[in-house]
Amino acid sequence: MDHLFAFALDGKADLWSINPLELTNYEATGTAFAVIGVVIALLLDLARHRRLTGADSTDDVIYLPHRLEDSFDEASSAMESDR
Amino acid sequence: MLRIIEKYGMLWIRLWFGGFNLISGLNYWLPIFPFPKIADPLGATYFDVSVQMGLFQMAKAIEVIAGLSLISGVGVPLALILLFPVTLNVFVLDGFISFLPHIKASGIRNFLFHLILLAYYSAYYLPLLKIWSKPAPLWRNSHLLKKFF
Repeated sequence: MDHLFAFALDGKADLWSINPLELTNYEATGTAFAVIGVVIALLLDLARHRRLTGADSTDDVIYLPHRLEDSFDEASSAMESDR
Repeated sequence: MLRIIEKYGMLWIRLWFGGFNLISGLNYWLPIFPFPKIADPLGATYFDVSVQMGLFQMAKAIEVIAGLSLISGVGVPLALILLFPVTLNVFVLDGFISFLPHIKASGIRNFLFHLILLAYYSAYYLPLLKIWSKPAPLWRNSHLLKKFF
């Protein structure tokens, strides 16, 4: 059980440990991307005086028809009137 | 406060998952790190067979494309769909077949990250859950493509 959370800074990933600080090469690369990306996003948001919050709702972010059938019905009637 | 945690937390997950997949795929084509050795015999057999069938190479190509997409934030919903079979395979092999605790945790964590990202971009997938659906052929609705690109 002790070894399950073991951590040593030895340049090797201990595959018998589930300590989050023990990183394989791929995990270390993912962590590097995440750290750099979040830091850049934070700095950009602060520089642009942007509110440091996420979108209020999905509707603010993307276009979604309220009822998908409405769009298709509109399209069908438009196609028929073109004929 | 919760919104801040949500925004940067999800950004962290997206970039972490994208970076992991990108390097995992790239490492097959351009050896940057030593290729991981598969400890359990069943996993090693699965790896050999999938390489011979070309499925492993296809999975690695998908990892590179999806990894780039997740990091850049371009085409994320589509990338999450393309990557799901790969993540599912990794989940089964790492989570249930491998005996190494770190590998088990890695497979389960990646699968959870993928599910969290699918939930975060759920608006793009919710229409797929419609139970009763009328056909909507592309050849009669091609003008709708403009709204989504």
